[in-house]
Amino acid sequence: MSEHGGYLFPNDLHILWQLMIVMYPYVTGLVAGAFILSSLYHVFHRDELRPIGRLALVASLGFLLFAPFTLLLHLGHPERCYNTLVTPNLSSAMAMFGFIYAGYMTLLVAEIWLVHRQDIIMLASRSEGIKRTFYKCLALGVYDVSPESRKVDHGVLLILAGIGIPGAAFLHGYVGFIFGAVKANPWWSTPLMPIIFLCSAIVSGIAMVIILYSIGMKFSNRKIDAPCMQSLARWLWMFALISITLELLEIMTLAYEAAEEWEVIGPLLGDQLAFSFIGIQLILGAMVPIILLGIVVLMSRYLTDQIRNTLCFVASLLLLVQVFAMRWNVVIGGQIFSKSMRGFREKYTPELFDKEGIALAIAIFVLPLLFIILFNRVLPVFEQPEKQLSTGAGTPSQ
Amino acid sequence: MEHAKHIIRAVLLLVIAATLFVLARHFAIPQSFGVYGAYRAASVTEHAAKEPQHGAAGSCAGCHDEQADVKAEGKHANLSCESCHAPLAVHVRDDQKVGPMTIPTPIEVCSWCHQKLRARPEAFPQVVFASHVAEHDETMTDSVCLECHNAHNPSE
Repeated sequence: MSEHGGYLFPNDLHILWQLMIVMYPYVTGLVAGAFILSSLYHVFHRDELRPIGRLALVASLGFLLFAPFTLLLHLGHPERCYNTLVTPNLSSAMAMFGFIYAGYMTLLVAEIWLVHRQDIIMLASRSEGIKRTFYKCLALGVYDVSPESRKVDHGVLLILAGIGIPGAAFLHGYVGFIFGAVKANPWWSTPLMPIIFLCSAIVSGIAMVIILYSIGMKFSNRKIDAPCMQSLARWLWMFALISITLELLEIMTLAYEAAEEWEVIGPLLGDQLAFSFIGIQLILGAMVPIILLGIVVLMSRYLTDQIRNTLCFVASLLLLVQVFAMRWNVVIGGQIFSKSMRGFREKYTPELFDKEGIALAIAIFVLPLLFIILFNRVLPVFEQPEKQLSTGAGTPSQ
Repeated sequence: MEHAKHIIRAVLLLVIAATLFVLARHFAIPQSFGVYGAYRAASVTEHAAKEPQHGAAGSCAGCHDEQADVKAEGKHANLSCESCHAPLAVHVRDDQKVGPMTIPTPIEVCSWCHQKLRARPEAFPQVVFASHVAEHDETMTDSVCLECHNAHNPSE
């Protein structure tokens, strides 16, 4: 028996933006966050972050590569996706994604290429056969590793990163804007939305890099660089504090103003989203890691490296969950109440095997990690010590 | 410039990629795209050329005046016949009968509007079908609704 259908009103019956639309800002957030973190080293010369300078960029590329999967799965008809690229509608905020995505991808690939150029040339000189041809193509046939060419690289890198920072801010601010611009929905329609999205993106990006760095060091039997981890913890703590403060300020403003929308947003947060909002987004995902990172930042001198690394790892994991919960609460929360603000629909639980199901969401999260592992096989994600770089790095015959 | 050879090559590569994209775009866009707006103008005439499937309200009354009279007196007066039955075109074309009109499965069609949903206005008549049928000591079948209600005038 058909449960429903064929009825024109009300239009709040279905959750149309499902798990993949939760994943979309989450994954693009990781892209923007990791990129902004990498720029702290490449542009702002925070030299203590050198060990993760490359990893942050490659992680950013990995997540960027798979970000459109979320939208394609949500929309269906992936074969029509090229339509948005060849015929962009300039009056559509959604269609702007094509431009922002393509521009950002070009910039990120160029930056990664420049950062790895010395390694590409070194590997071209060391390898044979097809491998050599491959690296030769990657080097675009130029084997100049002179200090002058490095200077040129550095200059271009600075310009690219200089464009990339506002680019990353736009990329993610834009995602927040898409929600913020839905004026019919009081839970979304706030000018704070892009800023909140951007700050939590930076939090998730730094947290992801901490986790990848910790795991990478563990598997390559190398030591985690203590000043680097300490600095990552400091940045993460600061951005987590800003992000969560903004999230709370938004709700406090709504609660204090107590306009008509609070009639529905209050029960939404306190009842419908009690677990994911109060339990995960505020307590487990925010309060706990802020305390853990506070210990790392404020009591640094009393901590051993192992304790610091463990605290940072756990706090990062929790913050990744917090940012996911925040995306969930925004995307799903904004759809479970009626636009007429008269009440709520049934809660939404994603299916396991659905085109917007949990299994595919996990796959989209894992694929970028596999990309990073694959990338590491082609080019080193973690910078080699200077000694190793110089040996054997000659100019191969062209 | 001597040491910027690789940058020049990278820029060239980018220019070639951009040129290829512009060329590919030129061939990928349908000719009539953008004439009226951000869509293919030819689709308007294509759709206009399609034969209408639904008749206008009242188009059934000419032959089925008895049912139309019953319907006009009840709460389904403003409901189009084709909302529950099939589109007119499966039954009549150019005033000629072309096939039998589909008889819908009542329980399915009734549930489209009367299955209880939180999102429907409270005053709108709606029931949880399973418990409503049980309350009236009936057995759930495809046509159970018709045991008590007349589909053309449900309050009858």
